[in-house]
Amino acid sequence: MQRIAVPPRVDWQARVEALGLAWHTAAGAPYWNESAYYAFTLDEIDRIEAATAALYGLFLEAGDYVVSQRLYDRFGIPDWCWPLIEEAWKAEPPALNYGRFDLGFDGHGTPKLFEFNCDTPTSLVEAAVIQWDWKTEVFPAYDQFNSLHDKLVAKWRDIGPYLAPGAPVHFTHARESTGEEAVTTAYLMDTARSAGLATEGLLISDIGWDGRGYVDLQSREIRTLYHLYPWEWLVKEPFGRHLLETRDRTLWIEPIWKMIWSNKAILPILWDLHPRHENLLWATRDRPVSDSYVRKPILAREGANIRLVKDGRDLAVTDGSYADAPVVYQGLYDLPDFDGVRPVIGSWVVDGAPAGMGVREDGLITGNLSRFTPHIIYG
Amino acid sequence: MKIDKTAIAGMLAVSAAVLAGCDDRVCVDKQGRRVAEQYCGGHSGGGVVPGGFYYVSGWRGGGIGTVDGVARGGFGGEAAGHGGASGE
Repeated sequence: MQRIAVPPRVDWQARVEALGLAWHTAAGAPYWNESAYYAFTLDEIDRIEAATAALYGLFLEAGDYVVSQRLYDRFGIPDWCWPLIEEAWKAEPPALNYGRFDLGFDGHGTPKLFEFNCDTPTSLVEAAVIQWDWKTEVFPAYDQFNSLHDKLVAKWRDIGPYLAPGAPVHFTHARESTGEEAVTTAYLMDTARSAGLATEGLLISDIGWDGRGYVDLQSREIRTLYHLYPWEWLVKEPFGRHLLETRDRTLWIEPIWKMIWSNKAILPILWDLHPRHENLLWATRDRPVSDSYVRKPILAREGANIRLVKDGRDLAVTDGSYADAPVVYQGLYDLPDFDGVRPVIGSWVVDGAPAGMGVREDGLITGNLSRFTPHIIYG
Repeated sequence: MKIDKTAIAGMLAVSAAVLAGCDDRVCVDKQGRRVAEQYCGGHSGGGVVPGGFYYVSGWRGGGIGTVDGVARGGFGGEAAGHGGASGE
C-alpha cells in the first residue's frame, strides 16, 4: 500500500463537475484530491475484499441475534418500530443491500472494522464514478477495485419485478447546501433508470400525507421510496407515525432494519459474538477495556463527538450535536501515516457482496471535510 | 466496466430539478397538485384554480400545511436541526 504524489489533471474541476461532483472543494481546499493516489497490490485488495465479505456475514448473524433477543433498547429504537423491524428482517423485502464498511488497513495486517454505514452512505459518486473516470484517463493500463456502478444497475434490475407495478420509484433526500445529497440521490436514480425503472425525485419535506398514504407533489401515492435520509430521523418526525399503517403500501429502500446495522451499538454485540475475530476491534457498551480507545456516539454522523484516547491521554476530540447520546467504546487502531495523512478504507457492498472501495484521508478522525483520494491496483 | 457518461451527465439536470424543489413553500392547486407560483399570487386562468401556498419545511414555523386533505412538511425537520447533512 503506497501513497504516491501525482500532478492533478489541468482541468480537473471541470472534469469532475461534468460528472456531477459539484462539492469537489470544501473550506477552500480540494475535497476530491487527485494530487495523489493510493496504489494497492492485488494481494492487499484480496484481503480487503475477503474482510468485507466476512464482515457482512458477521452482521447477518448479529442482526439475527438482535432480532431474536429483542435487544432494540440498546439501539435507542422506539418500541413501536420493533414489529416493523422484525417483519422486514424476516421478510427480506427488495432492497439494494448496499453500504460502506469503514476499515482500518495499513497493507500489512488484516483490515479492521470501524463501522458499517448502510442506511444513508455517501461518497458513493466519488467511489463509483469519479475515481473510475480519473483512472481511465490517468492510469488506463491499471485496474481499480470498483464494480459499484454495474452492481447497482444489476441490483435494480433484479428487484424491479418485485416493486409495485405501474408506479415509479421515488427518490428523496433532504435539502442540503453542498448539493452532495441531491447528486448522490440523482446518481442512484440514474442507476435505477439504467435498469429500466421509471423514477421520480422529490425533497423529503415535499412528501405529502393524504390521510391514506404518502404522496408526491402530484398527489400520486408513493409505492417505492429510496431515501437518503436516516431512519432514526424518519421515526421521530410527524409523518413517521404513518409508517405502521402504510407498511403494505410503501416499500422503503433501504428497509427499516438497517437501523440496527448502522447504529454503533452493534459493535459490542459483534465483539461479544466473535471475540478476537481478526477483522474486529474490541468494543464495549459500558467502559473501555484498555487505555487506548475510541469513544463514539451510537448515532452520529461525519465524525461528530468522537474522542480518541491513547495510553490514557486524549489524542483527538471532535464536537457536534451528539454530545448527550449513548456511546460505545472501541479499540484504537493506529491508522497508517503518510506524512501526516491518514487514510480510511471505505469498502462497499451491493447485494451483500463486495463491490469496490474508496479511500478518504484526513488527520486522526475522518469527518465531512476528509479528502477522497483515488486508487489503482498494481502488481 | 463501462460508464455511460451521457447518462451520468444527465445527473446534473436531474439534480437541478430536485434542487429546484428547495423553496420553503410550494404553490398548489385545489387538488393539491404543484403549479407555478404565479397562480398563488392572485393570477388565475389557463385552467388552473389556485389553492394556496404550502410551507414544505415545517420547522421554519410554517407548520404542516394542508389543502384538500394533503398535508406536507411532516418529514425533513430533523435534517434542518442537524445542518441538513444526513449522509454517513
